[in-house]
Amino acid sequence: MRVGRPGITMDAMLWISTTFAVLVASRLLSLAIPSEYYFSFQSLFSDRPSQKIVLAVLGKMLAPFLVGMAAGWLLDSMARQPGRINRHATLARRLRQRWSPSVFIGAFSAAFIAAWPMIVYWDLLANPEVSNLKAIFFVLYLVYMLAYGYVALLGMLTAIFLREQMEAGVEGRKTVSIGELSRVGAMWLLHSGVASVALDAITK
Amino acid sequence: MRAGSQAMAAWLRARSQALAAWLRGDGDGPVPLRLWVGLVAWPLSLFAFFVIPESSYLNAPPLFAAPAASPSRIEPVVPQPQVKKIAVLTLKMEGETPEEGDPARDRRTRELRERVGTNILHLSGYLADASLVVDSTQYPPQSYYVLAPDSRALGCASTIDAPVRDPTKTTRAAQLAVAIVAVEKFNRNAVQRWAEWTYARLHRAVLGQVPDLSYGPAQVRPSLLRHLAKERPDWPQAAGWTALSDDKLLELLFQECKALGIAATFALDRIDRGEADTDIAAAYAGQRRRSAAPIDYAGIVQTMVEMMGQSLPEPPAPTVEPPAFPSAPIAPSLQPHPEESFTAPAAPSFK
Repeated sequence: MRVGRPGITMDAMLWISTTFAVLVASRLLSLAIPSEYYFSFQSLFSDRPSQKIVLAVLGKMLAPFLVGMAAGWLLDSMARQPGRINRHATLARRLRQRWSPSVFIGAFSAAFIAAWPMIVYWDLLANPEVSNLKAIFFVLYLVYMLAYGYVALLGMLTAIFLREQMEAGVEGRKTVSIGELSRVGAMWLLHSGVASVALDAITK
Repeated sequence: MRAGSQAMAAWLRARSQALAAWLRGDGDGPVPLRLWVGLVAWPLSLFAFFVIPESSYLNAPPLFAAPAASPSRIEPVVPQPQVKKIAVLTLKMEGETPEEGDPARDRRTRELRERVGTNILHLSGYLADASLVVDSTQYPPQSYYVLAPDSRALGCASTIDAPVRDPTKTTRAAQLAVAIVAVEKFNRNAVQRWAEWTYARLHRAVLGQVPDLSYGPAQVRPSLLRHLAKERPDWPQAAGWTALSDDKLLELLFQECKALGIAATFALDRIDRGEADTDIAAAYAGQRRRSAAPIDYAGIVQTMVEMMGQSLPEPPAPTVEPPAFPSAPIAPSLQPHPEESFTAPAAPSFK
């Protein structure tokens, strides 16, 4: 099912699968990783946030990254099967116009769903020490959600990049370049870095 | 007749073909079957993972926890048998078990109720000062809130004209009233209260009487006032409500200061009968089913009252550090000798 205007389209199944897979992976990671090393949107409201915020944010971002990688690996391997997409241009267009926005919005939606209950109940459940910073926290939430989208996209592009590197004899016909990986990685680092530094500064 | 049955058969055939295509996933319906399967299967798998309980150990610190925070290994100074803690997993007993205390759960519930109560009092405008006290001398660190209610609100709730001479009872009633009205104000905003007021006035104008609904910041029914007046004829303030008309009662209920006094009178009536804070709050709000949930109305009101009764810890007494050398007798001159000048010890800092 395609949703959206011609050009950029959304794969609804990929969107839903990414969203729920990220939520499931986040749940499993939260059970496996000690709370000191795990960042949660709920912990923003707690009296005792993670002590090691950089490691905690990396731990949190592991779920969308892994899901993005799995999605990229699956989609690329399915698309390259005989009888499916055999033209490089078609694969590149599908990646740019369909898979990338679907995975990005899927991970963004997962972060939104995870944070939504606490956003709704901010007035009631927010830590009174930071309850006056409601607007700032909501902006930080949005930045973290964007970072989720970028890290899932980075995972997907990394998987496709690795698969292409492993394939021999297709020199000069890469769907994902190092430059593209770097751009998405930089966007992820920028968003999560800005949000983490701002959070650290206002909660001291 | 025959043409009708043929049309029906054709329609059924077309529908069954469309259904078959939808089941195969290549139909052109609004939502293909593949997507429906995803929409059902993914949430189910997500909830399945939330069924997995988080493991908690009785006597072992969390993985990678700082050793200073919760030592698990005792290092003897003198050669002794080394003692190593073995992590013991806690599991719930099957079936019904006697109520057993769970300090961690109780602490979490208390912290959550304190947070919610503080936010409600803050948003209702009934706080003059609020502090969070964290005691890090214990493990895990203990924290609690100390709230100072606004003097105007507390003053309104304290003006109870009743022959109860016990100041602890009147103070408790005033604090309980502030907490109760704060919750009511949090639950109903000014627009909703204006709508109540308008509806009551319209009802009065058309049908000649005020409907017996909850009104004002304290959300009190006029029938409750009359009931209190009947129950306490010896309380001058409450007894006075019997003589008031519906309009006057309505005006009384919409004045916040008076509403606080009414809530305090209700609380004092129940306190005088020996009821607990949670029972009074539940009776006020008409809460029939009580629960042990962390966010429970009566429990939060009780916590709000407790926080208003807390006081800040006394700052530690300043300690005077002894000078680095034996102090010389005070010289008659205020000008120190150049060779004997020394820096005074720094004053203790309080945070």
